[in-house]
Amino acid sequence: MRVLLVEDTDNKRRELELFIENAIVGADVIVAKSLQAALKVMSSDVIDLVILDMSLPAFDISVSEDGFKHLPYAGCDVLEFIDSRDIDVLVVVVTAFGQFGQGLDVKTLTQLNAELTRDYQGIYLGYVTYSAIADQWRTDLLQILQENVRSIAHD
Amino acid sequence: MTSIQTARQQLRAVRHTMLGSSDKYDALASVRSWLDSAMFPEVIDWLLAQRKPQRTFSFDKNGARSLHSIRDQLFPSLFPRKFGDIAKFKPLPEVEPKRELLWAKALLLKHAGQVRSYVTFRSQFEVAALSGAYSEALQILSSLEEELGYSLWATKLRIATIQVAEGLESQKKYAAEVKRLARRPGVISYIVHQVSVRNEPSVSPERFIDQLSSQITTLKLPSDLRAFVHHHVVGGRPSSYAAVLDTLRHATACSLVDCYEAIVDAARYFADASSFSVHVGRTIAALSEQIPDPRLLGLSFSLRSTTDMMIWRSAALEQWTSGDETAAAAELARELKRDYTRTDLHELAARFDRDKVTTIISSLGTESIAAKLIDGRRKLLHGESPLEQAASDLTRIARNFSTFPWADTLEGFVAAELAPLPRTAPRPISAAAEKQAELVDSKVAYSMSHETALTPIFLPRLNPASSDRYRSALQIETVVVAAGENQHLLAEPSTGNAYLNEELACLSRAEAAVLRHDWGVAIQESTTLSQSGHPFFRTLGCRLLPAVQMRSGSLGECIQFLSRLCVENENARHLLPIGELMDRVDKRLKRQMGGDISLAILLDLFSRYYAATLDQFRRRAYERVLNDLGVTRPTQLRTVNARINPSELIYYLRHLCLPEIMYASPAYVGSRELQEERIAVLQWLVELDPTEEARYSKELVERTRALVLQARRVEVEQSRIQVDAEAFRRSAEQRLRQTFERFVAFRQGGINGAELRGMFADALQGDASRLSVALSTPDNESADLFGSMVLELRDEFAIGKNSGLDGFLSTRIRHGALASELRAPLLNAHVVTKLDETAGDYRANDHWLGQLRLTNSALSARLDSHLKAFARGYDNLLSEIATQWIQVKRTPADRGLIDLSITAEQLRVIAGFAGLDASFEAFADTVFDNLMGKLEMSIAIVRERIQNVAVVRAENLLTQLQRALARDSGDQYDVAPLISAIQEAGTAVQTAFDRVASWFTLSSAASSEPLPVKDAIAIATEVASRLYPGFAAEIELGEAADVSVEAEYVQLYFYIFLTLFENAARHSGAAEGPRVAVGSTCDDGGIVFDVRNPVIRGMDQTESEERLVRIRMAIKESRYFESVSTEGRSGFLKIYKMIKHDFLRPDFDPALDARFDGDQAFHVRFRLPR
Repeated sequence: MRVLLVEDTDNKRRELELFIENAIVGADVIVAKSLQAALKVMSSDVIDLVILDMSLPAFDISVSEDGFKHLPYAGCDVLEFIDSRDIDVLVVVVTAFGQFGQGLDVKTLTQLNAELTRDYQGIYLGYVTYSAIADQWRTDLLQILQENVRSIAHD
Repeated sequence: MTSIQTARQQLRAVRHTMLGSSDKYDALASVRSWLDSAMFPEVIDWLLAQRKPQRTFSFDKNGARSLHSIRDQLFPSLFPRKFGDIAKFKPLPEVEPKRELLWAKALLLKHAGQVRSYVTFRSQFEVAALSGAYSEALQILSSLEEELGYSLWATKLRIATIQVAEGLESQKKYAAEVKRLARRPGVISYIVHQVSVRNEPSVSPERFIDQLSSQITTLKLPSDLRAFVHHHVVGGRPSSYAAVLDTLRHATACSLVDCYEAIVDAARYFADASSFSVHVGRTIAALSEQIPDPRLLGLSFSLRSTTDMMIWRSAALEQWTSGDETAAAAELARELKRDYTRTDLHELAARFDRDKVTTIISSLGTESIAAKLIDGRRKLLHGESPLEQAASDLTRIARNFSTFPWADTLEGFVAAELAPLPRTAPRPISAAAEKQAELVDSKVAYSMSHETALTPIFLPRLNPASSDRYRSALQIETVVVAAGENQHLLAEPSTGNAYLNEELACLSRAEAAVLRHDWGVAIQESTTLSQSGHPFFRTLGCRLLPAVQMRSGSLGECIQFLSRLCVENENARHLLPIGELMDRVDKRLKRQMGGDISLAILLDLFSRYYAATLDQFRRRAYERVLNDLGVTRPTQLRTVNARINPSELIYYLRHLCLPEIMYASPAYVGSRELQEERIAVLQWLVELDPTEEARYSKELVERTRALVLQARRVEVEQSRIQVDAEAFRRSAEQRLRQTFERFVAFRQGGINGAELRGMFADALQGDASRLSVALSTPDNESADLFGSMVLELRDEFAIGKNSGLDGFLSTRIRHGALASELRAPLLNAHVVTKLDETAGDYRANDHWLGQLRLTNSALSARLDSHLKAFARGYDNLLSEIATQWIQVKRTPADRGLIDLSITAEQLRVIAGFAGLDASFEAFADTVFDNLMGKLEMSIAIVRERIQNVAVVRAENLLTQLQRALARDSGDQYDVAPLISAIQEAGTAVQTAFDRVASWFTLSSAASSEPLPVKDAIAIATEVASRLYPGFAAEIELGEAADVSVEAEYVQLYFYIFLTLFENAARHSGAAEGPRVAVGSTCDDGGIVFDVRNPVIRGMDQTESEERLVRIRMAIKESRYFESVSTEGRSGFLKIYKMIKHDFLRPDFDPALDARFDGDQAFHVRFRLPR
């Protein structure tokens, strides 16, 4: 199974990568650290599952690249890209935040979840709240994967 | 007889109550509540008849005086002789609504003669103002005030008239005088002030209404007084009947004129409001019998369904509807001059083409209000730019002259025209549209309730219930023959009706088709109308067609139609149902339309003018347009652009091909490419759309500049690790040439290379710094000389005062930059606070302690303690990086990862390459290259340590902090927002460490292009904005702005200004964040810069002053070099050194000075060479 892990925070990415490798037997994990990187992988590779952070920079940040913008709803762009291109893939959003955007653009995770559930049926499986200081996210993510993805280790 | 007796008894009871009461005000308040309201006129008569008591009169002296006092409280203010007497007296307490109306009616009828006089003045003023006879209008107001006293009504109109006639300055002067006369600040002054603001041409009436509506709710006033203030300041339809009656009560205490206006306004509110309208109808009828105010006729019609309403006829309307527009225009001008107040003629005039309207308004006087009303209406009806401005101007006039029916009708007109669906269109389209339609109908009906006469032309604007009554009253069937205008409202017209012009006939057929749901015909007729050569009908058709398309489910066609319309005239969006349409765009429709450019355009219009909710669809629509045409970037459309409507292509390129939208397409590899693509798009747009060349060129220049600055910023930020090779060679030449000559003499004396290398091998077992000791014997003098030359060169390389590495490390990394960069994300998230140096502890984290609203003080203290502990731990890490890692190590005992110590083995290698046979230059170059190699290896180690060790330690600190906070807060307190902020800051911290790691590369070849001074400073400003939360710089450079800075000095500008900005941030006295003002002037050979920043008010400046004295002394005594490699309070000396030495102008005077400007600002002045 080819898994695209879209995550820009190093420690969260490391933990998720380890988790996926343990949870999904034979998982081939591809990492993307920005919206653009994720879209490029989705355009060129066949992916079975996307573990998606919601807020990302537009481009991979480097010495000469400031990422263009930090996008609070980058995950929505990934989902819309998948949907508009009829890409057959499942997506789980893993986020550390309960609220996104600023000012008039603000949305709670609950509101966002309702929108994603409505707009991306058959693609969006749900969300998991990540925390660096607790392990509940592991149980939640495993449960979503077990319910929706074949070849997940049940023990 | 009985009733007469009862009336007499009641009147006697009133007298008894009044005379026997010690509090006459309360007594009258009570009387108003129980007395038969039919007796109000007699009571008012009696009260008004009270005279001052004669001194000799012995009867109930106190009571008589008190009655006189009551009369003064109530009635003298009906005709205030001074402005300050308006609302001088206390309004009577509230009674039930019917009584309130009847009391006011009795009072007005008691003064019917004066009210008639007022109505005459009012009518004269109305005509004078509309016709532009402003002096006359103002004179009429003066005459009114002379005869009937001051009033809010006249004051507000005078403000509006002066604004229109004489402009803002005069208006403000008058308003100020009135406020002065009002004597004390209070409700009347507030009303006058706000009315004056409302009249200012730059104030948007829509925003004013919104802001004042909410501001008034916060005023510390009783609710009834707030209603009164709202009525006079904001106007519009009142919020409730209670507000109407409260306004009436307070107006009664103002003046008779205000009382009369308030009762007319109240009647309008009740005209369509409730069963209470029966009482109001009777009141209005009674007033109407004695007061010849045409408004009362209209209100009677609305309230009592009387049929004695005036009917406006118009020969011009008849001519227009039969298609003879030229004759109609001439007739219309004549009719308008006979009666400027006729709103039906205003609206009819606005339907003509522009030339005819110009002719009509010229005949009225182009500066007259009537002319402004007609031209404004024309812009809306014709969809002419700037439509929004026209709507604002009309609304402003309407609110400022709201007492007149034409002003009210105007508001209804604007509301109906700006509604997304035309009045005649079928609705509702959606729940949102339905709500909006109801609001518009209500507003229109309310406006029309003030009209003084019936007219066919308003029928399309009324809701069905109202229009039925109007039609009935107008006996519309016969009117239709004479003025076919409204035939389309009644029934399907017979084709070829000779009385209708073709466009009206077309409109009638379209609407008839809508009524029978014949969408095909409705669309066909609306389409024809939308292509009419007449702007009025064309606009109407353009509004009707999308409404029909939406109703019939032709959403794709509707999107295409609106897109074409808006790309030709973006202003048309105000009249079109874009929001309603986008509400109905679903996944199926998006798939069906695919890459249709019109969908992308509509989504863009929605995003720009309505909401951001569909932004991700807009970004995808942008890309699908390209994909469907087989390309991935906008500039590639050049090959296929023939397949796109030219106007839509221009719109697409201009508004959708922006980096802010394009970033979501996988066609780009970095933000630079995005910007470059936009620049290429702009270049193409200049060709495609030359009329907008100036706009595109401006954007092109700005984006190109931003791109250059971004590249230069990266370049400058990568220039922190530097050794000046030229300065190194120069210094070597000056200091070692003679030693080298001696070494050459030894060499010529017979020592060969092998012997020399052998000496090193024997003498040294490790570090070459022991060389001079080990080789101190005369036998080894040659080797000693060689070794000491190498070490001296190494020291020049490492710590040389002009070119040494450590100076760059100190100035560009350790001195502020490192800590600022790595602390910035945490400061932005308020996770860390500043260190209070006096107290030796971190400041309390008031931000989060306040945000979390902790009521438990012990917990609050614990959380603050965790945050402080984190700040300390984090700063210790940064300090360790600065003092233990980013240090030059010259001996094994030194701290630092930048290892430039020289081992014996390395000496042997150097000797092998250049020790004996080479020239001095070759020797120096070999040593330099060797040191550069060591440097390169060292900074790779630093980079690796920062990315792999420091980041992990920072992450651990952040995780520990989160755990501690979560643990201590337990389930009782929600610290989730703080933990969330820490997590978010963690990602930014990681980026900051990556950026710092990137500094540890050798400075590569820089750009050779010079930059203007303004851009060189802009780079520092941009970086400072990232480093210091809230940082803002006000840069006014004058003629120095465009002076060129040679490429090699851009870095110096950057570091000089960044050092100053860092200093300003550290001592910032501005609450909202560091503020800096930079100014400059050119002098002979230099640019003088002045940098000012506010400091903490009241700070103890003694220590700082003493430090400044020491700095001046160090400069004077040339001791500033000592500061180059040290951190802390050395910024000015570093700046001095950079100016004095790094610009390579030894004779240039930096004229650096720094001092406090009083106790609130700090000022630095210095010169840089030109």
